[in-house]
Amino acid sequence: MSAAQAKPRPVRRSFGFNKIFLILAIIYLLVPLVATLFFGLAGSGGIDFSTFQQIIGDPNFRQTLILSLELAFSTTILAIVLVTPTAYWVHLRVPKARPLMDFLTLMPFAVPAIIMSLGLVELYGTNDTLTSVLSFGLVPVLSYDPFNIIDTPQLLVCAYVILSLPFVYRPIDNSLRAINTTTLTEAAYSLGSGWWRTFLTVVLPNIWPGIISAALLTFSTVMGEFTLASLFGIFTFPIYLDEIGQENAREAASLAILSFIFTLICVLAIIFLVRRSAGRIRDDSELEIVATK
Amino acid sequence: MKLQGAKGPASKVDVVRGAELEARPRRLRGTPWVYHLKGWLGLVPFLLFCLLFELLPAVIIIQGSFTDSITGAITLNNYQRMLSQAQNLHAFQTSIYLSLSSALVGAVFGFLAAYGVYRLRTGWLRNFLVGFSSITANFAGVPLAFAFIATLGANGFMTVAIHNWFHVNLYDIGFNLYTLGGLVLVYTYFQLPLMILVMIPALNGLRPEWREAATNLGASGFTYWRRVALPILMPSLIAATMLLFANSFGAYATAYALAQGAINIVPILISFVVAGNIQIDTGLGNALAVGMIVVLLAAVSLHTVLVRRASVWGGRP
Amino acid sequence: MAFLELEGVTKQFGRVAAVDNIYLAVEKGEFLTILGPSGCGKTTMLRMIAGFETPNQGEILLDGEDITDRPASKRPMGMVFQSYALFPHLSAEENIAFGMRTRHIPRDLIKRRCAELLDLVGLAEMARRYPHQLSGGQQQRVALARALAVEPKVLLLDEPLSALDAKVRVSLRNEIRRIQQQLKMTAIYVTHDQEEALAISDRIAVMNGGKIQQLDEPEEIYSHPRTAFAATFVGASNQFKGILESAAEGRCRTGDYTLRIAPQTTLQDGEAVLIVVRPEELTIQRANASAAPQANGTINSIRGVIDLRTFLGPFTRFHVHVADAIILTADVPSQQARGYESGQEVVLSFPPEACQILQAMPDQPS
Repeated sequence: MSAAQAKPRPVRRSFGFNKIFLILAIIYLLVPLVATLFFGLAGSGGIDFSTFQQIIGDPNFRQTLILSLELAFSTTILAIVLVTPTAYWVHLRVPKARPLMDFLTLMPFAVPAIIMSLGLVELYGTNDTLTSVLSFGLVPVLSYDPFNIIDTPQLLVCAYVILSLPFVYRPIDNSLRAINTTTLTEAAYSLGSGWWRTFLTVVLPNIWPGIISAALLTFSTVMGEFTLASLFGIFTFPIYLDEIGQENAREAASLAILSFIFTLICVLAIIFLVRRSAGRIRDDSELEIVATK
Repeated sequence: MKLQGAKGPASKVDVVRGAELEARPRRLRGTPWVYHLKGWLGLVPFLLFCLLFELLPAVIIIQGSFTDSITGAITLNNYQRMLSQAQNLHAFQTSIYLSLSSALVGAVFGFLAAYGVYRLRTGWLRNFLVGFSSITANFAGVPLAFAFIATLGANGFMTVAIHNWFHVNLYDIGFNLYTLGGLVLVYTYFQLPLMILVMIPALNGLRPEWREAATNLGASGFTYWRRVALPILMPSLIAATMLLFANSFGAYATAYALAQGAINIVPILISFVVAGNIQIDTGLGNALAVGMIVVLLAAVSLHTVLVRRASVWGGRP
Repeated sequence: MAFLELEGVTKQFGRVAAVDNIYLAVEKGEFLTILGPSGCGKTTMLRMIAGFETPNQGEILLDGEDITDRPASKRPMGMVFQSYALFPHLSAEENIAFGMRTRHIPRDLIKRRCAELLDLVGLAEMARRYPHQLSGGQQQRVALARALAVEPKVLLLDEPLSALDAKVRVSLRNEIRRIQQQLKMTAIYVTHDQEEALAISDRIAVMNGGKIQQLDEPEEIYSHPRTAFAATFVGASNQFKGILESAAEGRCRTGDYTLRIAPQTTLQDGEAVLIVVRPEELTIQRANASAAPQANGTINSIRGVIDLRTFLGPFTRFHVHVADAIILTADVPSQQARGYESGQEVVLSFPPEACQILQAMPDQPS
């Protein structure tokens, strides 16, 4: 070993021109949140929780929150129950239907809530021969007694299911692709398991992270959906939020914070789940949440 | 040259049975189309649901756009009015301007921010930022409008703070949250993180070997970006921008909560029809809706095509 | 009446017949291997037996019953897949128990059987492990136990060893054979690896282009291949095309050489034939100027130059250039191969009995 050892080279650390924009973006995203928090809590000389207390005491708060929760649960369950077996069936049996599924689950981007509200109001509110025929007579059946679904929460739930289709189908389809579904199904068949049994005991346990992601995305979407509820005249939580907000800016700020915290919880739950199933299935698309309000 | 064993066919037993079995006429088994039909039958519940709540509403809108709302006759009048009346044209213009601006601003800054995340070495910080982006991308609609009012409204926290610290009243110098410009600012709030979320996987698709190969061939950092990275990323970038555009073009709640219908964009106009406001008749409303669908379809189709192209280049399945 | 029969089974994908009018009879307790290259239809045939594909034509009979229209979940077959197909959310024990639980077998009986089967495949301590905690070989053994758990009438194996390391492949194939013999299970095994097929089968069906080329015991197929395909696919071979000069005396004219073969009874003079000689039948000697080049007595001798010498462990393979476009392959035990190098002139010899004669059909397109 020679006596003259090499001088340690200075470590060049470029802090990052590339980090500047990231920092700016983070600031831009944080400022409204922090400002709203302060705005909602600012009282004379300290933190004032009175607005929160007022809100929680309001009977409308409880009523609309419960209604929204019910709608969210119904939508989530209906969406999952409708889409999951269908996605499995397509994957297994009718791969040719994939483009059709892709189209149907992308359509809500081309027909957003505002347009859907117009269409649904016209479809179930008026007498139209073309659609009556195309729907095999179901539209007239649903429009009148005993169903009479125009402007009902039931119709709202069905519309919400459609709006959630992109976030439900994609994670579930990705999960099915990730676990080599066809071979597992054949293995189960060779052991005497029928279609439903295989679906329930083999497929579902292995795609449940995808299902939970889909469920959480749907749930948070419905909890925050305003357009359809407003135009159908159904008093949900976001409608209540808007009502309060138009009168009282501070209460509005508090409610906005509550909303944000709720979304935070949903997203954290999804991330936590994706991390936990890292040993088996990784799914980047589950982190893509599209705001369609 | 096809060859046959000199000892005769495959197995003696099979010869005997083969001969007697070949004598029996073989019938064709289950027709393939029955199998396919049964396959499609399994999709009926889902397809029926989509039909009733997704497809038929679109059909009735399209049909209604060609119908005169008073007489019920087929007409192109609605489209004529849509394209000629100032209010309608203005609404489309405003909508497109709003969506395009927020999409472009969100796209540019979102991409730059995404690049910053992509270059982060600390894993937990990266994951945190992705999570944060997910949350903010989903924080839209009514709560967002109120959050911005609380921040930059006439008495908003930041408005007041800036007044106190810099002695400048934002609203005096021309800023107004309740205008189109303010709406662009608000829309950007959920567009930017959405861009981050979409671009991070695309950036991850840039293989480090490409950079190494480019450097080895003598390219500088700038050249690498100009001639390798950006061209490769371009389909994803445009696809993402289209997604952002479609996202804000169809948005209603945020604009409504912020400006109550004072801002003239197409979703607001359509809501007048649904709410029964006599300003707009159903025929025109349907035509407006069809106009929206056309614009959105164009954006979504472009998005889909480019996503496919991007995945082919990226080599991901 | 054989245990499992395929009668006139055909499967078409579009215009192509993946499986073309197959007649196959499998005896009870037999280990039958379907051997062929990728795309020859062997996997399709296995999947039709399992019930994952339906034939366009023909019937499949099991123990006298027609099962062609029965869905896969109702057939008494166990299947082992190339990709193991273990259920990732269940432990090894639970995987094995899966088929039994479908049949509502009492809990304690299931537990006992699982233990027995894990023992049988040598994985007694791995009961609680999950598939991602097991090696490839271990996973495949669990898959085997799982298939056996339902006491199938036929065990189907679809290239089960392809995804495994070479050494594991050898030990596991022997285990599969041992278990099959112990349980006297009827097994149908699909592979493209001819060494595997030769090592463990009772009979081999060599398949190509949707048709069975030869169905025989391994030694028969190796020493008496009946088609050129069987000759080349199973083991290496040297091939000579020629005309049979004299069937009674056993003489054949091919190119520049006259080869002595065993007297033929079924063929006629003047017929076009293909002669196949296995490389290990050739012996190698240094060329002496004095030795006559051919037909020395009744031994065939051909002169040539060593093109390539490849040491393969127990034996050494020589590629010897003997004529214009002809290179012969000779496998010589490595002890005797010392001293022979590339570029040397040598003489290859083989007896008439080493020649396999296959009838050439000149009117068929080559």
